[in-house]
Amino acid sequence: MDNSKNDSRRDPPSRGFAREVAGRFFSRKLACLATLVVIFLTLVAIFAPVIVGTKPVVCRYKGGIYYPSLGYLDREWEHPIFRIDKFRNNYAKNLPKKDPDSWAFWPMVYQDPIRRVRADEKEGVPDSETLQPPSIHHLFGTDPAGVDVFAKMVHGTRTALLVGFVSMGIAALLGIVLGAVAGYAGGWIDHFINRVIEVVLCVPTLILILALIAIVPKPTIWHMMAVIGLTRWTDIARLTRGEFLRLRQSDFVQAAVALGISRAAIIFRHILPNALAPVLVPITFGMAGAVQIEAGLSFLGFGTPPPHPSWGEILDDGRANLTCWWLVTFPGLAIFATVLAYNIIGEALQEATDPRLRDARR
Amino acid sequence: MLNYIVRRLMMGVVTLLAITALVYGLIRNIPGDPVSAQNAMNVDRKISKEMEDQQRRLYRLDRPWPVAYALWMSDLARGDLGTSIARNIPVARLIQERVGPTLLLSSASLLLTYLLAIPLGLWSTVRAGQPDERFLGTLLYMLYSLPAFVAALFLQIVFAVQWDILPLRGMTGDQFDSLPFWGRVWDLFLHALLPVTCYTYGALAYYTRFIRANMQEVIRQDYIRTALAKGVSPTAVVVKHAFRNTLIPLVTLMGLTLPSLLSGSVILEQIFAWPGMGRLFFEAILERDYPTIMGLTLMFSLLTLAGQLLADVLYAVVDPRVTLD
Repeated sequence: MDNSKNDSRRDPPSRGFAREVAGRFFSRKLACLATLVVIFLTLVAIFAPVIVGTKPVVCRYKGGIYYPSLGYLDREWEHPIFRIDKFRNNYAKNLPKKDPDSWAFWPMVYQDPIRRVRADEKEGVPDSETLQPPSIHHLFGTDPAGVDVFAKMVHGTRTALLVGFVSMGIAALLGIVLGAVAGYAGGWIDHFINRVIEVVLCVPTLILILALIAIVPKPTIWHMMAVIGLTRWTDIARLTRGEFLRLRQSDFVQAAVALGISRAAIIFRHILPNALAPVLVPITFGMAGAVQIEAGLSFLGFGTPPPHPSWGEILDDGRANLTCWWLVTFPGLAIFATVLAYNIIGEALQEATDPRLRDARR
Repeated sequence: MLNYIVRRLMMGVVTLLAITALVYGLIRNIPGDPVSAQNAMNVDRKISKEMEDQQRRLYRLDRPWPVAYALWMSDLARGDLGTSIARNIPVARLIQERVGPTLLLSSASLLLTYLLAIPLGLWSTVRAGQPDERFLGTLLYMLYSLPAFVAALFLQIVFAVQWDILPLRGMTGDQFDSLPFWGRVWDLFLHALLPVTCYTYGALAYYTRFIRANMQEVIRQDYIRTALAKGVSPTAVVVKHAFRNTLIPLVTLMGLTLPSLLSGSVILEQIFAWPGMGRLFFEAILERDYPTIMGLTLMFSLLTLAGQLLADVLYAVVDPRVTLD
């Protein structure tokens, strides 16, 4: 409304497009809150082994300092000495037994995301029974195998976030490159890429994912992320293409062409930075979608391979045991909160980057 | 226009060929085949190696996939979709059987969505910024972010397990066949209530927000102010002057929902044990039932392409400013 006042104030130091978008984005409370949620989830994902686990965060064993809890992030990071000494993942019992001088700093909650905890493991931790409702010992209850749901949830955060980031990273790379080429080159290349997009849109995602995972001899969580990425790039490509079609006509591109700058440099150094902000929108929405796809796949039994706990897997247990509300409520809320946060961020980005929407708000 | 449609149709045929070839190649490369999948299911009745080979020959599993694909195409050209391997009935009939239940859910949900979304969208436009509108807007936004399978499980727990007032899963009750006509309708209604809710709420939230966003743009136009200045009643302005002009994007959206009308949802139909297309598709993948997978893929891609074409053509029909070339 009071554009004239704003203009006179904003005029002299013209901020870059990206800074301006960021400024507008963070001026919205909800967007800040959603960003905080994502940051919180990221912290949970990174520090999951410190929050809950049965492997010491730091321990002293036979004269050396070790970090066995890193084994939750990657099995290779667990020092081989514990495998050689046959710890069998039972640190609480074996550490003092095999080395009386050892000490250990334990995670905040002694529960395991993969196996059930037995009675004689650690003082104060009872035998975990199957399908227990939430209590002091099991904050979110236990699943049909007696595994602590809180531990599964905390460690599942890693899966949920990684799926969003990695699969969308792949999708973004594919989508941006193909969209940029299609939009800038035009002609038969544009035509061909459009047909490819159509084909990917029409092939059922479930088939594509199953088949691509099947081709890999030993599928891991990384393969799954790659496959989700391979099926989700079409929106990004379409939007990038549109942005390139628009920017190709603009004066600074004409100037770059006149200066004799190479095509690749024009596409990636001159147009792409200007097209990137709007492209963030489908990427964020895609991250929300990827979280849902991963949960859905785990739910159908085609999820992440066993050593990676995932929220969808807990939901699947909940479907088979509908009387155990905690198996549905906690992962359901977690998935909901994550998707909501991504969607809010996506929407705020959309409003911050689209001048039409921005002006409509005031 | 006709020129454009013909060109698009021709391109569509090429795209279809690419899609079907890709899917055929992919499913043939998933480990396991229909014969081994079937044998894995009935462990007590092992069939001999010769029988297996004979079956494989019958289903053309002994040939390389491009050859088998070409044969499948030639059957298709004669109007034959093949026979389901796991169920031993023609794929066309199988799809015919399963399309009804899915259509029941999707059409009921589509109808509900439009019936609710249009009034809600118009109401939100009029009350924009008021506390009640913002509350509804937030609620719809949250619903939009709630995955349908999570909602389905919550609803099942509350209505079917805790309160026990609605059936948990399935399309009909046990004594369905012995019921009188209206009893059957009531039974079907009760069974469809939860699935239809799960199908609808997400689309409802999306459409309401869509209508509201479009309306927000239109009511800023000069002709709306003119109409109001001339003394046209606010209701008439919103419904007649503004809403009519937001129908164009709505029409294109309808074209794009065409495939989902028949494809159903794999997860929802699986949760509610609903004997529809989504479930058929899922079962066909597990059974490695190649002819059924191919038949369904063909149908889905045809509908997707047709929906896109329809959306583009409708866009040009309802908006004379748009020309297709």
